[in-house]
Amino acid sequence: MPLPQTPQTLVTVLTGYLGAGKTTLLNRILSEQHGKKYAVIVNEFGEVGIDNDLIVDADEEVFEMNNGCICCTVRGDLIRIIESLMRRRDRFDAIIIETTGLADPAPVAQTFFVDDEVRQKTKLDAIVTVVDAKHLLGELDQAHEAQEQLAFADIVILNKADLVTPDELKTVEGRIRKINPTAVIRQSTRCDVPLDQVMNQNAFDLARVLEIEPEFMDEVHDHEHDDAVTSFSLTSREPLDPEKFFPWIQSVAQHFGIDMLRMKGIIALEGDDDRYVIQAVHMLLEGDHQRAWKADEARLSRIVFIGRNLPREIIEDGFMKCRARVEAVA
Amino acid sequence: MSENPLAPRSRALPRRLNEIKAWTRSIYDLDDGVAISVAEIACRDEDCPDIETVIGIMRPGEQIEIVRVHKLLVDILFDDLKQIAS
Repeated sequence: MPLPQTPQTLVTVLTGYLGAGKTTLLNRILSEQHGKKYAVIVNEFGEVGIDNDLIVDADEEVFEMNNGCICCTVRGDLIRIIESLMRRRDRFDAIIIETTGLADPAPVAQTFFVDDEVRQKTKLDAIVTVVDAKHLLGELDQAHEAQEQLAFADIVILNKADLVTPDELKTVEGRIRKINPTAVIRQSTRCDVPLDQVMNQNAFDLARVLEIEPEFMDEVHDHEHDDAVTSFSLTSREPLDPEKFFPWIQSVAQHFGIDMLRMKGIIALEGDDDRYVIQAVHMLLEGDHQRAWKADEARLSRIVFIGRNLPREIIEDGFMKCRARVEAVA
Repeated sequence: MSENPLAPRSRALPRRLNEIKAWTRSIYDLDDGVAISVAEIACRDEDCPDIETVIGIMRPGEQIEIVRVHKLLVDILFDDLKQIAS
């Protein structure tokens, strides 16, 4: 891991459909007594009642750094605003970006990995997606944006939980899990989730990739809906050969990166006593050695892909070929 | 421990970044109201160059002007930018 140079300002991205409760959550974050001051970047702040003296209007300016290449597409307005905010960084502790229900989360997230000054001075803490428990299923059926906002989420606030029955809530949660098995889901009424479960999550830190039980991920096998955005996980009890794995995962990012919204994995490499963790947003791929495998811990490689119509069979076939000792087929 | 070809990019050196931004401001005669974005891109897309530094000149109310330098950020010289601008 690179050594820290100067303290980075944490950035939380709040996304979700109109009416889901984003502004309610934002107002709670801004009004509760937690001793922190936030700069807020919003769309059309004149239309919502937000009481904050450091609020900036964003205009969703998409900046294609490299001729339409999706991983080099960032948000120009955020770069402009963050540069300006950083001249006043003594006035706030962290930044919150509220996006519209129709915004593509990818360029927002990529801004924090691609622009060098933004990357140096800030750190994407988490993407928080607020959804309306009563209306989410209809929105998912009608709009790919709703699916993508869930796909990118680190934390899903399943809001208005009081407006549906426990069975309906279970169905909604199952659908969220099918799209994004790695996000943390917090049920809420009027976004009454404890703020320490939303802020300071460090979700993009490689050290925290896939802090989720593999058994829980394996439970996600719901085939009732035909979402364009969906997920699958691959596992191997055989260690993977680094000579095969690294070229393969880079090739996956290269060939399927446009449709691969997020990917997270923990890999057991042959001849390596450390867990290797990996994550991607589209083609932006990074990985690092984490802690050593514990003596009583199964050296299980597991990798979760979230994307649009990803060719599971092809990816699974490539993954299995990365095993250091490929089992003989009966 | 095996090699790590996917190591996170280290954070750019603030001095280098500031230098490139100052050169860009001077060559293009930009005031402080103009934001400048600098990104060293190692894109995995087959159609993209292996490595380049993209400088975005973000004048208020205008489309972003893009300056491409086919070099690593640390290797860029004042004359590279001057030549592109001329």
